[in-house]
Amino acid sequence: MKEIIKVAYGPSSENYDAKFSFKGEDYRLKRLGVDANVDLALHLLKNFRHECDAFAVAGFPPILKIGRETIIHPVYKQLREAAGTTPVADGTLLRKTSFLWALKSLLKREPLLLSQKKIGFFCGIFQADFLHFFEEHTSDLVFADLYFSLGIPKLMHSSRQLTKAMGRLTPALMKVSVGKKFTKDYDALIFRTPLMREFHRCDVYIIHKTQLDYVKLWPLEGKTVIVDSLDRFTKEKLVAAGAGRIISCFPEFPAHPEIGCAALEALFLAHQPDKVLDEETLLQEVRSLEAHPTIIETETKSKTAQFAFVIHPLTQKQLFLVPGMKNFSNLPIARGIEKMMGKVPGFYYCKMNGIKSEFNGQEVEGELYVLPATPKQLLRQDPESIYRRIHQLCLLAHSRGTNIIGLGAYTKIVGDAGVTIANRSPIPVTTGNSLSAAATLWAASYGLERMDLVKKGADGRYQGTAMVIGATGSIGKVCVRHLCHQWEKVILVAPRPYKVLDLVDEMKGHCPNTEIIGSTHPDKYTPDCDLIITSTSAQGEKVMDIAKVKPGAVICDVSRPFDLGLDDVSTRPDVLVIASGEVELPGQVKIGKTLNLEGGAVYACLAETALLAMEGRFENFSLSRELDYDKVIEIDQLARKHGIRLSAIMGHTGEITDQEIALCREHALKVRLT
Amino acid sequence: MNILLTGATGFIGRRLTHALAAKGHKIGLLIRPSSLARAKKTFRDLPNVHFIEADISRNDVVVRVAGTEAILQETDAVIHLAGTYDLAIPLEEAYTNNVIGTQNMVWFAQRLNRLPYFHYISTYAVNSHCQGHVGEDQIDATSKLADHYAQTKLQAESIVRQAAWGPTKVRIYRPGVIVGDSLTGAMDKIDGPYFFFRLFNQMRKWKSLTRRMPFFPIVGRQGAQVPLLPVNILADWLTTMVEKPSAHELRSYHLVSQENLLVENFLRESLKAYSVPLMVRRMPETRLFNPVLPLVGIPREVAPYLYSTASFSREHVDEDFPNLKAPLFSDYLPKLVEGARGLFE
Repeated sequence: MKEIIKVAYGPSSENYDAKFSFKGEDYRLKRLGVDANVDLALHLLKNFRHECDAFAVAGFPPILKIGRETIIHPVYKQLREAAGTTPVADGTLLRKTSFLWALKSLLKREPLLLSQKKIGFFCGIFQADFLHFFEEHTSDLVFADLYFSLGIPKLMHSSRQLTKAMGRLTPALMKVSVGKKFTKDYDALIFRTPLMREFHRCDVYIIHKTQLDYVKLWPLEGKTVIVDSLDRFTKEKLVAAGAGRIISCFPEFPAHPEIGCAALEALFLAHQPDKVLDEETLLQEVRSLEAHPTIIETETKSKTAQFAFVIHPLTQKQLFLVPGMKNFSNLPIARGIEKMMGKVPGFYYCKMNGIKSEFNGQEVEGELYVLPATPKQLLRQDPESIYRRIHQLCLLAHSRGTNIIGLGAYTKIVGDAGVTIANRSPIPVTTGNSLSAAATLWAASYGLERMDLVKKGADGRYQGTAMVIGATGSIGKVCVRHLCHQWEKVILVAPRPYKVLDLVDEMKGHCPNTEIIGSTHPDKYTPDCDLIITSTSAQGEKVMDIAKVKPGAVICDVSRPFDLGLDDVSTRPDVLVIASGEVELPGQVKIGKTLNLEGGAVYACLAETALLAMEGRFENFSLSRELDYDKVIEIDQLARKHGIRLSAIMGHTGEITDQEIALCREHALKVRLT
Repeated sequence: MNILLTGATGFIGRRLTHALAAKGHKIGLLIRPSSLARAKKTFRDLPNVHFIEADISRNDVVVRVAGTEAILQETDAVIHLAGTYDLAIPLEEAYTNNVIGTQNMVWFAQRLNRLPYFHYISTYAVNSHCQGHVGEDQIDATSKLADHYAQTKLQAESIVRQAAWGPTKVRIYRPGVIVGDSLTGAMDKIDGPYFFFRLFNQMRKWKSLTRRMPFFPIVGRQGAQVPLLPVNILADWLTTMVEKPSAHELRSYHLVSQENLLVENFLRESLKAYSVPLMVRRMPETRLFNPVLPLVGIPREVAPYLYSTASFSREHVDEDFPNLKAPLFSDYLPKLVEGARGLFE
C-alpha cells in the first residue's frame, strides 16, 4: 500500500484517513491539519518523509506569478527542504490544468453563469492565472486582496490594478508570517469599514478553500460561491454560511469526494514511476477519471427581506416633535418653518424589525424614511418637486439594499399617485392602498358585528343603508364595490357630480339588485345610514354633520387627518366612530421611533409593503388612484395567510374596547326608543 | 474478552492492565519496542498478557505481527489509552502522540476484523474552557484551549467522533484530574494537585513565614472545580465499563467523582492535611496573580484550570452505570499526602 500524507494548513479536527485504490494500487491518504502552525508542518514533513510515498501540502502559499515575476514564498521553500527527497504536491499544477477547463464546461451548460455579474475575489492573486478568463465574461471584478492579506480596506477592480499593487507589496508580503496573519479575525473590521461595502454586494464569490477557516463568511449568504475544490468540510462550512449555490471547479474524484486538489495531485505523483508530473500526464490522468465539476444548489435560508416606507408628519404639531425642533413650536414663525421643511429633502428615519410571517416564517425588516413636509405643503407644492424628493428616497432605499418601497399617507396622493415615482424608481413602489381598503372593510364589519343593530336578510345582505363619502377616491371605490355586494342600499357621496354618476352607473352594472344612489353631499341621507365610510382628502374640513347621523350607526373615518373632529365625535356617544386602517404585523415588531400609533399597530399601507416583502412579490402592487378590486381581494387573502390582523379597532381617542362598543350600543338603543 | 490496550506502561495503564488481568481477560499490550523490556518486567506475574511490538506514531502501528495474528483478529475491544500527558508539553510532541497516534489507532482499529468495541480515553480538559454545566456529548472542535495537551486531546477526540466506524461501537471516556492511589497513595510524578501539595509541604517547614501570613490566598474564579479521581478508582471503573455491552453507537462519559470538589475545599482540606494552620481566603478575580504562581512552584499552565467553573455532568455514567461512586476526597486525602511524600524528597 502506498502512503500519502497530506499536511494541511487547516484545522486538525478535520483530520481523516482514507483508503482507496487507483489504477490497481491501494493508497492510504492521511490528512494532518496543523492549525496554521508552519513550524508544526515542517516538523511533520521532516518526521514522516521516510514513511510515505508523496506529500500533499494544502493551503500554504503557492508559487505566484505576478506580472512577469515569479514569487516564491519562504515557507514554500522551507516545506520543500523539510520534505527532502520525498515528492511534494501542492495542487497548483492540477488547479492550473483543471480549473478553467471545469469552469468552461460549466459555462457551456449555463452560459449566463458569469455574464453581467459582480464577481468578488477574496484573494485574487491566488487565481492570477485565471483572471483573464473572468475578464472576458464580466467587467465587474472586485478584489479584496489588500484587505485579506494586509488588512488595508481598499478594493481593486481589474487584474492590472491587482498585479501592479501586489507586485509592489510582494517584499512586504514575504515578511508576513503565514501562521499568524491569516488567523486574525477580520469580522469586526469588515463591519466598521464602509469602503468594503461594495465587496458584500457581489453576486459571485471566488474563494480559496483554505481561506474559509480564517474569514467570516457572512457575505456569502444566498450568493454563488466558486471554490477550486470541494470536500466534505468545505461543503459543510459553505452550507452553514448560507451560500445559495456552491460550484466546485474541480474534477471530483468519484470514489472519494473528500480528496482535495493537492491530495489528488499527490496521488498522481505517487502513481508516476519517476515521481515527476507534467501538465501533459496530469491532463490525461484527469481525463481518465471521467471527473466532472459539480454544482450544488443549497436550500437557501430565507434571507431577511427588506422594505422601505416613506412617512411624513401629518400635522404641524408632529413636525415639531423632532428633538431640537421643539423650541420653535411656540414661535410665530412656526408656519414659516413648516413651509421651509416642506422643501427639505427626505432622509432615513429608523428601522423596523421583528416582523415574521406566520405562514412561512419569512422575516422582514423595514426602513422608514421621512419627508418632513406636512400634508398642506405636499398638496400645495409642485408635484414634480415632490416626485424628485421621493425619487431620491427611492435611490437611497435601493442603495441600502431594500427591495420595495411603500408610500405612506399623503406622499401617495401627490400628483398621479405613485405612477411617476414607480417609473423612475429602481425598486418597485406600492401605495399600500389595497390593504388600507381591506383593513377598512375589516374594521367596518367588526364594528357592525359588535353593534349588532343591522339584521342580515335571507340573501346574506345587510338590510340597511351604507354610505361611502369620497366614493370616487381609490379606497372609496373599492369600499363601494364591496358594500354593494353586502348591502341592500348604498349611497355614494363625492364632491364632483360627474364622477359620482359615472360610478353609480358602473356599480349598477355589477350589482343590479342593490339600490345605489349618488350624491354630492351626505347630510340628506345620513339619518338613514347604518354604516358610513368616509375616505376623503378634505384635510380637516367638515364633510358631514354628525348630529344628523342615525343613532347606533357605525362610522369609519379612513381619512387622515380625520374628517370628524374629536369634538364632533364626543357629542354622539351613541355612534361608533372607528378610525380604521390600522393593522397589526405578525411577529415581535420593534420600531426604532414612534409613529404616533397605539401599541403594535401600523398603517395598513406600511403593512402592505411588509406583506409584499414577506410574500416575495416585489412588484408595483397598488399604484395610481384606481384601486383594483381584485387586488384588494388578493391582498386580503395574503394578509390572512401571513397573519396580518386588524389590531384592536381604534377610535379617535385610542383603542375601542368591546365594553365601549357595548356601552355605545346601549346609548343608541336608548336614543332610538325616545 | 480479548482486549488490545495501548499505553499500558503509563500511570493509568499499569493499574488498568492489572485490573483487567485480574478479571481473567486476555490482554494484548501494544508496546513500543523501546519499552518492551520494561513492560515485560512490570507485567511478568500476570497470566494472559501478550506483548505486541507497536508504535502508535507509525502509520501501520504494529511493528512486528509475527505470533500475534490470532489476538489481532479475535479482538473484542480496543482500549486506546496511550497519549502524552504533560501540561507543558511542546506542540510537536503532543501532536505526534495524541493526534497522529489516535488517528493511526483509529485506522488500525478500522482494519481489525469486525471489531465490536473501540474505547478511547480522552480527558475532561477538552471542555475545561467552558463555564457552567458541561454535557458529556459537548465538544467544540474549533475551540482554542490554553495548553497543547488539552488542544491535541480535543482534536484527537473529534477525530474519533468523526471517523467512519461501521459495526464498531465507540465509547469515549473523559476522566477528571487523576491523582494517586486512594489505598496506597502511590503516585508517579508531581503534577496537577501535587504542585500544591509540594508547596504546602514546603510551607510546613517555613513556620516563621506561615505564622506571619494572615491567610492563604486563592486565585481564580469563584466556583472553580477540581474533578479529582484516584487512579485505582479510574482503573476499576474502566474495567467495569469495558465489560458491559453498550446500547449506543457512540457514547461518551465523564469519569468524575459524584462529589463536586471546589478549589477552595481542596485547598482547605489539603492545608489541614499538611497541618499548615492557615485560613483560605479568595483574592479578587484578576489574572495579575498568574505570574506569581511559578514563583511558588506552580506552573503557569495550571492557572487556566483555576478559572474554569465548568461542572462536568455525570448523566450518562449514572444512567448506564449507577453503581460507580468514587470515595470522598477527605477520606483518601491522607493516603495521597502519604504517597506524595516520596515525590518531594
